[in-house]
Amino acid sequence: MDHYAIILLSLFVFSCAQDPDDVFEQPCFGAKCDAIEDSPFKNELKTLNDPIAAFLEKNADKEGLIEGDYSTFLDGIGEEMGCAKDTEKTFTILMSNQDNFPRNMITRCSSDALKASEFALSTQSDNGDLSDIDPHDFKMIAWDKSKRRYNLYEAKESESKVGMLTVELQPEKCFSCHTQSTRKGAPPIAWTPVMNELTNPWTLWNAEPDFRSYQFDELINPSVKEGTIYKEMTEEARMGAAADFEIITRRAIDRVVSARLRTRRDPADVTKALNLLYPLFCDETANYASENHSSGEVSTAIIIDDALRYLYLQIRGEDWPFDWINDGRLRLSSVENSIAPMNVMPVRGESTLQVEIGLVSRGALKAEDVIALRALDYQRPVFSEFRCNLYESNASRLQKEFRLDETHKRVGDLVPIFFAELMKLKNDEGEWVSLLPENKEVLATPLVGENTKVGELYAGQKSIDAFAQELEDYFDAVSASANREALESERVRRGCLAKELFLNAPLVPDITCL
Amino acid sequence: MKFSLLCLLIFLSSFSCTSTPEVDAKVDKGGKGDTPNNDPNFSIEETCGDRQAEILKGNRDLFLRDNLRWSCADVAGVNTNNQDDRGQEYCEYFAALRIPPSEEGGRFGETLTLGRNLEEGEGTTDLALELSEDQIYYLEDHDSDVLGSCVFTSWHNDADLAIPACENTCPKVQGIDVDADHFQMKLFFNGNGAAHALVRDCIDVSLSDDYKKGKASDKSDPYHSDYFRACVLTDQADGFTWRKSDTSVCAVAMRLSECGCVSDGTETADVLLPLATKENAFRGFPLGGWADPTSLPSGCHYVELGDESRSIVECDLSGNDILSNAKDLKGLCKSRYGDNVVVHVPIPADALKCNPGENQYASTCTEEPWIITQ
Repeated sequence: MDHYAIILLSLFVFSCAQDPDDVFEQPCFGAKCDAIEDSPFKNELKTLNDPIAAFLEKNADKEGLIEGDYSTFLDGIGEEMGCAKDTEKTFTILMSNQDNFPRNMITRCSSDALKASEFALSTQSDNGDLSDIDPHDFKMIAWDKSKRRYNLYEAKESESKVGMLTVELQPEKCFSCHTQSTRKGAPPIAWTPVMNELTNPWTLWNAEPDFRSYQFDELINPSVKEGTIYKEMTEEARMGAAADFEIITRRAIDRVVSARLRTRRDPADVTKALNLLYPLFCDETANYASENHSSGEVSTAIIIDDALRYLYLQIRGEDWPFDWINDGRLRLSSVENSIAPMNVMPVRGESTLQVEIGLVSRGALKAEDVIALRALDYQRPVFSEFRCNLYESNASRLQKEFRLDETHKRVGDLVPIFFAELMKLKNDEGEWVSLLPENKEVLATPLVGENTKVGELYAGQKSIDAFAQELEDYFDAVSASANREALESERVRRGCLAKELFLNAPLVPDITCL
Repeated sequence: MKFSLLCLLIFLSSFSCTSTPEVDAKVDKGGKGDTPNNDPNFSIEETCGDRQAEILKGNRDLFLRDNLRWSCADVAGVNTNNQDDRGQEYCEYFAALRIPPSEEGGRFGETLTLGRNLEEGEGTTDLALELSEDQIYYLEDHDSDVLGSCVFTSWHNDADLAIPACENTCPKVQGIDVDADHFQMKLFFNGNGAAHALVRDCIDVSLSDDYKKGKASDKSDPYHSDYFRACVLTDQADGFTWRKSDTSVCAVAMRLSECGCVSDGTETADVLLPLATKENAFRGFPLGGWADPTSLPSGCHYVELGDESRSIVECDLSGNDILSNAKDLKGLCKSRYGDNVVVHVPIPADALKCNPGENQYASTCTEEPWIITQ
């Protein structure tokens, strides 16, 4: 249960599966090479090109010690960024496993989401005192423009020098505890910001002053509301709404995903190409959607993968006669007073699906082909064992058998070849059969069972447009139904899988997992 | 009834009405059209139920003491099928950008506006941006740079006002001078005259007492909901029942009537939503955020026109946004910012005094009965 503590709270969480050592491959860059100091901390700092590193270079001693508290860092880093104090905003989420203790995310230049996504400071509650926020215990992230990735820093009270903070660069504990998926064979990915409850109503986030919060005001630990530091961080002028943090987080996700997609420019490499395709088949991340209070309104993503909307819009940006494409919002039957709104339903992760959309929008894959993948087991938009097994069985084959030749110059050259290979399934005769029909058709299969045969998949063969209509019928049926039981049962299934797969999964309420 | 409003609007706004949602029901491909009433299953009561749930059971307050608000994002059912009908909430929006260079250090091309409404009946500018491989690389290399804008405008189609800032230097958006041609709303109903007519008609219908109310003996009758009752009434007043704006404006007007709210010596409609004159000109309803009328979502700022109208908002589009949404950047503008760019209609609360007479809903009247809740 302790992992809830880390993240339930869906803040900037950074996957740390990437080997931290590669941070240090490059001892320095640019003018910084002129003055390598005899201090491991300072030398490590010189490999990082972000505003936190710039601040520490000027203000920390050679052991990484610095006087002050969180506000010292915010002011100093803000100066490096050119972002004044009055641009600061605090975004708050509750950690349900810690007596609903709040975690604050603080940004500068907060009205400029692109700029704000370059840096964030996150409070922690590691010292066991839940009466107030500890101003001397926090993590920070900053975008490294040279390496196109986020660097992570942690500041804590020094044990050796009273009144000083000690700063750790790329802290090891983060690398070990914030992996995105525990599924065996999942490739390492760069730190990826996660805001689990990314969309309205931003369950457990403070949605004020723009929106009414969902569960925040009711659940926040009352004692901490009176804490001096908490009040200081969340005073009216500094309080930010979850709606704005969503925009900032999306900007941060864009940075990481875009950097990842650039690997298709690298020299041809089988593993790199497969890693780019992994998130199309298996879930690297998840997000969690909730009904907007008792309005019945919820993201369509709970029943139809949001990527499908984007993929159809990649084919044609307009003129679709389907609500599931045009609106992206599903209206469930009205909530009776006795029924709680649907809360925390796992959906496909935003960073996962953005890789997919990015490969299509950059011309590495055709939208129609990726739609054909999504058509398989489509009523399981997230956590489809069938799609992930396709990857796993075919990827190991490719790793063993595929031979690079002179026509394979870049990773991007391998992507469509590998995608076609990954879309294969063995038939009863042991032959590999493609699940990509010709003529841009798809094998529309609502649910694929363990023993579903290739022939049964081909029974669902239809045009892309006919598949869109099938999805519309499904969308309409769910909208029209007053029966929420099927959705609730799916929420339980997904909730248990999320708990198993993601250390950063939030508490999915009211579920019991075996 | 609809015809009379259309003619009135034609008169007020001097726009043809060849593409009103009413008369523009083209043959559609999947049974659903570009506005909700083009769906063969369209039902006023069902639509009003949907709007009621969104508006009253969600997490935004539309009805405040001093402001009526709604967001620029169009409701479900207003889309691009057959034609792009987005921009129905007294707020039109589009994307603007300069064509990206084909190489590092190359020059940007001409400025494009994507999905911008043209004169009534002429549709919109192209929606999709086609990118070459070199442009894709350029955008990827500049993924976090601001390379385009979403523009939200509430500049009324009948507010023929100069831009004071242009006496010195005209503001620009992505290199385009801010002018009426590009930035004034175009749809015939997005004007002061149309808004005023709607308020007046809603008040007239309410005062006529000829509209559907809940059965006094049935407390669960949906018509007891102030919003629902007004939403259905909106149709009688020739408004459109799927719009947040029309139904909310009508709800305020209906409550003013039901609760006998008047202002000394001035028609209620003129107090609530004055008809602009040369002496009393205003550009459009101010845009803001949900927190207050002057805040905006992160990534957005006002285009300074020099008149404090706050009627044009510009929001950032990054290189990555353009790359990933090139086929419908206007759709990205709606989904990323549209729910949080908010139209504010000021309510002159201090000028209104309410004195409910004897009607079925008189007992529900508070001092500010236009603040409608569940």
